Formats: sequence, structure tokens, C-alpha cells
Amino acid sequence: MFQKIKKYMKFAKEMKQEQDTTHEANNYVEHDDIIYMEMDINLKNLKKILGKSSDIIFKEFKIGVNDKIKAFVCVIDGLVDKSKIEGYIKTMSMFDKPMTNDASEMFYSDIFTTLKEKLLYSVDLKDSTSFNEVLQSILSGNTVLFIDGYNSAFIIDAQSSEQRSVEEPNSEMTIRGSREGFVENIKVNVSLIRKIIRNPNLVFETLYLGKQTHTMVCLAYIEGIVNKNVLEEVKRRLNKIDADFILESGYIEQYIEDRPFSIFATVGNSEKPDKVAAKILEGRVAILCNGTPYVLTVPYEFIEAFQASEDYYSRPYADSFLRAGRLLAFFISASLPALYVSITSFHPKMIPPILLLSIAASREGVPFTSVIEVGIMLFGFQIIKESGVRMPIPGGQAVSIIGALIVGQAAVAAGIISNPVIIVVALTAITGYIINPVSDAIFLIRFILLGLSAIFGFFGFILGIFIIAGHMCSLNSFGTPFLAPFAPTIWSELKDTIVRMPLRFMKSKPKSILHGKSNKGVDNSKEGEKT
Amino acid sequence: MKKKFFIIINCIICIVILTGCWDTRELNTIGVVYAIGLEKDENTKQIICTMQMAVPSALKIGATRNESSVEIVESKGNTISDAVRNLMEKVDRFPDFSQNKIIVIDEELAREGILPILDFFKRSYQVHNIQWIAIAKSKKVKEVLGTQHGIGNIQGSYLNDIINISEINAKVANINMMEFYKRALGDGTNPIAGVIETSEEPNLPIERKSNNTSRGVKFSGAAVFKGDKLVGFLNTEETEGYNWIVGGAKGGNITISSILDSNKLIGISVQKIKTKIKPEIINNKIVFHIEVKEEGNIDEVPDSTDFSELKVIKQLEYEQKIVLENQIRMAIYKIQKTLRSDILGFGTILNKKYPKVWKEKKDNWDDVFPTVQYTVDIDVQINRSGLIDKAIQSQKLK
Repeated sequence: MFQKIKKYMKFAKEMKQEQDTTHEANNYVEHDDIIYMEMDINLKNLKKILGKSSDIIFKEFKIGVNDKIKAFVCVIDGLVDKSKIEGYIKTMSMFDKPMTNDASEMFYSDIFTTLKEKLLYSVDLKDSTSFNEVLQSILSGNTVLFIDGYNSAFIIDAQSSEQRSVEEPNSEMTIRGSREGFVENIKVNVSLIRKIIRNPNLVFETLYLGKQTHTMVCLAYIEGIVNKNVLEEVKRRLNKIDADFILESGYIEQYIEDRPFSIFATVGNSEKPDKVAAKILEGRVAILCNGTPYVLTVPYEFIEAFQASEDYYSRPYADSFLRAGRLLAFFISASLPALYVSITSFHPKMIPPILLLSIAASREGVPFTSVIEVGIMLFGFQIIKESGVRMPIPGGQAVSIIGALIVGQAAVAAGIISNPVIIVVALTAITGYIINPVSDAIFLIRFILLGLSAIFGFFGFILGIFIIAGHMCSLNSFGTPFLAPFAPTIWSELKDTIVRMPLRFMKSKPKSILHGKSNKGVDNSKEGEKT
Repeated sequence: MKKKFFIIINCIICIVILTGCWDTRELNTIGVVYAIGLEKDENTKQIICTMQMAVPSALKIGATRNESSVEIVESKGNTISDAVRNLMEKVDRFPDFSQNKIIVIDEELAREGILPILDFFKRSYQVHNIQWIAIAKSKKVKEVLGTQHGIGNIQGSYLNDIINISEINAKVANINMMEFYKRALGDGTNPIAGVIETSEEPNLPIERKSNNTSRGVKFSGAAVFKGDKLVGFLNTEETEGYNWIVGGAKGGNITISSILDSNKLIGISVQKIKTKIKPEIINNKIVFHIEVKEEGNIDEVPDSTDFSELKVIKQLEYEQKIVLENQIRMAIYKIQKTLRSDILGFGTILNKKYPKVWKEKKDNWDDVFPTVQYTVDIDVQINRSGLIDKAIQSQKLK
């Protein structure tokens, strides 16, 4: 067994080393081709690369009424606003001003700037001499115009693809506050954040990840607030990603997180622009990824899972109770089944006598031990939950009804499960939904603690809590301790943890992110560079 | 990393080796014991252990009321642990003492000393220290555990509830296991214990019971120990006097005769009672000064005594003082002269103030205690007379 563990550790180390070697951005073509003066060569080159696919359109036409200059546009069908492009082509082919009198050389030298300044009245227009860039912009949905006799091409942004409109996110419903949610299109997402933070210091840095997909990824932060060490570290880890494809921000999360083998996520995510904006304003870095409404934020602290955006929009007094309640819910959801099993089968002394008898009364005639009972119910709950998520919507109702019937009545009536176990599992499940961001971790902790308590009783339960708490203390997220205001106790920050103080007392930015002197991640990187 | 794994593996080894109570018992394999009765078989000199186990299925919601909520099982053995083992020959559940409320000990057994018997319960990790210890008079342990004339579901917790509410009744005395140990082993003090008798109560038709009478249990008086051996009993009035001296009760009742008509009686409820016992040595003789401060309310008046006059109140206070003093003197007389056991804790008090004198007297304190002198000084105050100051019928009745 030890050898196996050793082997595994070696493997993990190698993985890490492999990740450490940075990779250069991949190109579509081996060497950066240039754009030739002759249009035909360019057309041939492009067709060689893109011609096999049926959704690429090459449209050749002549500029001017005299049909003197050859040109062609290349677009991807479905990604562009065709009527706009057709309008451009129309204006260009009707253009006939200088062609009558002047020498053709004069005209030639002029057509490019004329087009740029007068004819192509798109806001987003640029010219490029890099064949690679041109190719990339075609694939991202831009229109490219080649003109015969020039070794540069126009890149016109006339994108228009099908997309979902901005609507309320299902994962984070709120009663008070903005109902906007991010969508799949990264440009819309960027604009949603920009609409909230109108500040010249808000910076969006774009990079492309994934060798095959070239997914657009955007870093968002506020210069002057963001901790430069953290920003450097984020960029370093993003550049290190060596993946063929990035389909969702979850891919990025798994590549950049501090401890890939921990049960706790050390990268946060949200679907709400106001929440992400708040985190950026606190000095965190947001990572937007094209194709998903989930935006990542780093560094991530454990307490963020308990902070809902509504906490800050409504008055603080009742909300402080709710915050404390969420922490309690976390504890209940993670440990109630384990507590039930350890107390009933090891320490009946700890239960008040009347409660003990009523538990004993309902356990009378149940064929299983309490661990198996709780295990069956927890597993059953997971199945019902999972099928509720995976079922097509019309079937969802049936699942919940059958689940309720089986769990609530039939199992008890048939004498398979005792009533207190139903209460325990129901409480566990309901409280688990309160703190959605850590529900993955809770799910695992629940079973770890249950196993320990079933074998060792309360002693095992406490030991499990110690192990988990110790593990949580050891976690770091981009240099910020995971249990930040608690574990290295930062007194001034405790005002936004178990209770939420009124906003007027919370003007300062969180210290744990901004002045992280013991910035572990960054230190490591420096060592890495030296060696 | 290596270090970490080493630590984790060490932790796991520690759990396996060092775990304390790690025998798991599911709830449907244990019988929850609510009361234990102990007596001695006179012929074989074996200990008879009677246990009252709760029957959970009878307490289920929807269970028929005909089913009994307790099962009384009995076994004999040379020791208590032997008796508990012998029990398993005929009972399908392992007895769990963790919820036990009361240990009832037979009078005869108690006269031989009960610390050797209690040792089993003190040693067991299951049994908690604050369970009650009571003495059943004249061979009635099984009957005490087997009768109930009250509302509670389980007879054991019914006994426990009676003891708990009798805190404001000075006529009974109670003791838990820890206190018993303290007083039995302590210097200059001896324990007392509650006494349970059985009683007969009539059944009326509305109660829908088959017999004309049903048996119940009754707490009254106190059992007096010398060391751990039972030496005698105090009746209810003596117990009251005892409780006034040691401040053992939170409340009680005092009856005095009326000023207007000495045949009629006035009831006064004790609200607060505080006692200080001060030892003094006068001419080489030990004297204890007992100072009692009592506050009471008038509960019940049979005639038209007018409480708006201070003079009347003073007179009532004086009468009450005489009644209290009589009770106290009576109790001390019985304790000193007849039982000769220092359950009042005089020895401890003397030790605190005159440790040197105590050292001399310590060895023959049992002989000294019956001869010590004492004075009683009582301060009585009547605070309230309820919602009315004169009795309502005063106009017509005189």
C-alpha cells in the first residue's frame, strides 16, 4: 500500500513539473505566412486551409464601376451579419470617383486609404499584414477583405450570431438586487461588467486558450486595487495551461487551482455580474471564458460561499442572523447523519431519555443497523436529486412525487427505514441546498464523517472534523489562505463573516487579498524561475 | 509530504488502539433500564436485582394503551454483576444503565451497608452519578418498582418526577448517588436517603380502571444512615425539622393555630429559609448556635383575622416561631439521642472553625455528638397575605 501511495505521489510530482514548463501559443500554420500582393495567391492559400469546410464563404468581386480592382471577402456562414457585408460590397462596386482621369498608379496608391476612411464605415475596422491574425479573425467570426495589389487585409467586425438574451440566472436567484445574469457570449459579459464599473482603471485582458478551440478568455481587474502578485500569478498559471480544448470555465478552474486533489474548490464562480463586479472591486481577479455564463473569481476564500449578494443590499441586522444560520446549515448538512449514527449506536447516554425511547420505538423492527439505514437514505436522496436534474422537464414532476412517496411513506410503512432517519436525512438535504457553492465538498465530508462515526463512534467523528479542519487550514488560493479571516485571524475582517456589520463600517478593502505578504504561490513561482 | 502521511497513519493507529468506549450497540439491541431495585434473598444470601426496562414499542404513537410501557425483570446472583449476567439467560436485551433514574434498596440490605453494593454502579461508565437513591421499607422493592398511580408513561421516570417536584416539600428528603458518597465518606457528616412506601388509593368510575383500588407509591420521611449503614427513619415532622436546619428544602408548609380561635388553623407557606450553624466553645463544651431566618406567606385563613394590623402579624410571627422551634428541637432530639448519627453535619462545621478541637474529638465523634449542646434562634417574617387582607366571610362569621 505504501508503495502505491509513493508511486502516486511521484506521479503527482511529475504532473506538476510538466505543468510548470510553459507552452508557447500555438499557430494554425507552421510558419507565419505573409499576405502576398497578388490576391490570387492569398485566395489559394486561404482555400488550402479553409476550403474543405462548407460553411466558409469566399466572395470575389470587383471594386469600382470599371471593374478594375479585384477583391474578395472571406466569412463564416452564420457568424456574420450578411446584409451588412452585402451593403459594403455594394458601395465598393459602385465606387467610381478617381478612375476616369488620373493615372492608375495614383489610384492604386489611394484605394486602400479611401476604403479605410470613407467607404467601410464600420466602427470596428482594422488592417493587418499577418496572415495568421487574419485567419484567426475569420474563425472568430470577423469578415476579412483582401484587395488585389496590397499585402494587407481589412478585418471588419460585423458579427451576428444566435445568442441567448440576458436573463435571470437559475443558479443564483435573488429577491432583491439586479436580475441580470451572464450569457454565453463573452463580449456581452464584458459589457455587463463594464456597465457596472465605469472606471478607466477597469482592465480587460484577452487571451486565447486551447490548442484546438482557441477559446477567448478575458481577465478582468482594477488597476490600483488588484494585488499585483496575485495578477502575475493568475497570468502565469493561465499561460501554463496546455490543453487541447477549453469548453467551459470549469476547465480553466481545474487547470489553475492550487490543490487539484482537495475536496474544496479554491476558485470561485458566479453567474451574476453584480457579484463579480463586487469581487473585482474588492481586489480580486475575474476570469471570463467565452461560451459559458460562469465567471471565475480568484483568490477564493471559504467564507465567500456564505456571502449572498442580497446580504449587502438589505439591512444588516436580520441578515447577520441569516449568515450565522448558513454557517450552522453547513455544519448540520455535513455532520448530522454522522452525529446521529455515532450517538445512537455508541452513546445513547447523550440523548434525553424520552427522545431516546421514541427513537428506540421507531427503530423497533427495522432490520438494518443505523449506519446502513442512513447510508441507504442518503444514497436514495442523491439518486432522486440527480434524476430530478437530468430528467427532461415534463418528467421532473413525476420524479419528485415518486421520491416523496417512497422516502416519506412507503419506506417507513414497510419497516425498512425508521422515522428519525428520515428527519435526519431530510434536514441534511435541505440544509445542503442553502450553501450551494460548497455542496460538492459537503457531499464528500458527509460520507467521510459517516464512515468514521460508524466505525469509531463519536471519537471518529471528532477526528474526522479535525482532519478536515486541518486540511482546510492548509489550503491556499492564489496566496490567500482559504480560511482567511478566521484561520490567520484578521480582526478587522471578521465584521463580514458570521455577522455582517453595517456598510459604513466596511469601507476598507479586504486585507487578506491585498497585502498577502506570505504569498505562497508567488514565492514558488520565483523559485521556479531561478532553477 | 512524507511527514504528513506519517502523521495521518499515526492518527489512524491511535484511533484503533486508544478508543475508549467503542463497542457499538444498536438501539434495538439494548433494554433501557429506568429503575433498579436491590434486595437480598434471606435463604441463599444472594442479591436479587430487579430491573425496570422500558418497552419502546409500547411508547410508539398509535400503540395500544393496553400494552405496558415497562417490563420488570428479576435475577439473582452472588454479586450484582453476576446478577446482571444471569439476567441474560432470560431477557433478550442487553441492559443499558445510562438512563437509569433511581436505585431502590431494601431496608434489610441497607442495614448491612450499601457502599459495597453501589460500587458496581459507581465503577460502570454507563451509570451517571446523579441518580437517586431511595430506601424501600420492609421487603417491598418489587412492589415499589411495580406500582404507579400517576400520569407519567414510564414508572421509573414517574418516580424521578415525584422526587423532582418534592423539592418544595420539606416533609421528604432525597439524595443522589454522588451526594451519598460524599456524605458517607466525609468527616463529621452522615447521609440520609428518601423513603418509599406503597399506598392504596381508591379508584373512581371516571378513571376507568378494573379494580376498586389501585396501589401507588409514596415518599415520606427520611432514612438515616451511620456511615453507609441504615440506622433508622425520621417521620415526616422530624424530616421537616431536619430540613429547616440543613436548608434542604426550597419550600414547605407551617401550620399554626389562629389568634381568634385556637381550634382553627392558619396555613403559612415557607418562601425562603436560611440557616446558619455557628459552633462555639464555652468552658470546654461545644455549643452549636442554630440561626434560622424564615420568610413566609399566608396561604389560608379560616376566620376574620385582620392582617392590616401590624400587631396581628407580629403575633402570628411569634406563633410561627414557636412551631418552628419545636419542630427543630424535636428533630435534633431524635437525631442526637435515638439515632446517634450526625446527619446534620455538625462535625464538618466544627472542623471548619475549630480544626484543633475537631482533631481531638474526631475519633470518638459518634460518642460526643449526642451530648453536644445547641441553641436555636429563629427570625420569622411574614411578607404577604395573598389577594385579600381580611377573610371574605368576616361580616357574617365571627
